[in-house]
Amino acid sequence: MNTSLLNAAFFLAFFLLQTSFISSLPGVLSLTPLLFVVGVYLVQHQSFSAGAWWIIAFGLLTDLLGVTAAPVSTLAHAAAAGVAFLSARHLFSNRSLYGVVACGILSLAVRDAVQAAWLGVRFLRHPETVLWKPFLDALPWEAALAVILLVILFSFAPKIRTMLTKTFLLGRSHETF
Amino acid sequence: MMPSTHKRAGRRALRIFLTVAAIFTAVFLFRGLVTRGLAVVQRPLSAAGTWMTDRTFGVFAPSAESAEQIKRLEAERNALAVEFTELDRLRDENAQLREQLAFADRTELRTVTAAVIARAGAQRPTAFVIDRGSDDGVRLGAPVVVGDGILVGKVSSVGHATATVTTATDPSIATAATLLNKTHTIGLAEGMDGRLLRLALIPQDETISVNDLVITSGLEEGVPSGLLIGIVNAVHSDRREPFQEAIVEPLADIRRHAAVSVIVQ
Repeated sequence: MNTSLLNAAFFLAFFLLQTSFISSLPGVLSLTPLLFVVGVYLVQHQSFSAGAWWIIAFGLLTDLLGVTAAPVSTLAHAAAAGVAFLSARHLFSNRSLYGVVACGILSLAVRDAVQAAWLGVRFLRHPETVLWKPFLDALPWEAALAVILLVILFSFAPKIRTMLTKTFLLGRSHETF
Repeated sequence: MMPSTHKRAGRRALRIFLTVAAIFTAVFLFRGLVTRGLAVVQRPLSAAGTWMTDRTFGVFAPSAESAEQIKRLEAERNALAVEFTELDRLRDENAQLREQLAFADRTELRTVTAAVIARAGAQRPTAFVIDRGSDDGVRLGAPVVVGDGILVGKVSSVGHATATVTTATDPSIATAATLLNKTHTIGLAEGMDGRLLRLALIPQDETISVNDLVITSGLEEGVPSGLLIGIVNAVHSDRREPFQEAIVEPLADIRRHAAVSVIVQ
């Protein structure tokens, strides 16, 4: 129970940081996908599957609280979380930076593809209401910022592992890198 | 060994799923309470990010003027625009009073001040969430302004304690507008690309100039007249076409504001 509450507390902190602080930052900094990247990193490099739940919860909460237009965020983040989880288990090595970055980019691509598909469906019905340019302009910046964040998290991997172990979010015998 | 490991993993996954489901059910049922609670933390976080955006305005844009000078000039322009709109309104009212020898009631606008607590980012760049909802008198379609009556958007969804505002530059938002040119052309200001608006279907015989101000016409229910929408920065006119189009630049950049006012009456 304590682990779940701690999980929820960490998630909430990242959620508030993402939707209130980061999204208000100037220029491309507002596109930093902090919570998403942290979730993917935890799933891929630390084998901490709750990271996938964080990603799904983020999508669900942003739709529920009216930050995004439901249900696109839930669907996109759920798909991305699934891809992150499965690719971390079966596709990419959790011992190298390249595996971590590849998993992050693939998950981000899946999330953006679902959002693009949703925009496409809306475009068929109400083409004048769809903003393609800001969405497409944001993609390379989001990817670049995600890679930078993943590199930073990878470089702090032992410290992150120690913190997760100390807070009992991760068992000591849990195998990762 | 393997089956019990799988069982443990399965039980853990089920525990996590049930916890998440319980949390979200609680959030859904007590949305108002949850959003009010979260808003306490969201307000300062959003204000901090917006402060950084405002302070770094102009840093990355090449300009002959410094950022401080640009801000000063913008503030002067907006103040003059507000004065001009009021002057124009008074001139019209004066003309009507002289004609009819009657007095119109001045309408006092009732507003609710709200803090911006969340923004959607790239997924929905033209929307943001405020910490006021139906419990505070906010209703769907209510105009949202900053400063001395500069329109930034309309309320597009309302909860008990929060509301989502879509900016006027979103393609799904249209506002009944008046151009402050010689003939006070009436039109519909529609959002374009998230940054600009378009005043379309203006007859060719109407004279529109760059720097003409665009205000709300008052012909739309719930949106009072006289709110500043923007300034014309380009006119697309082809004599072979029956209509011309004005591109309107909004006077306020919502990304530099942490607080807004919702007109509730």
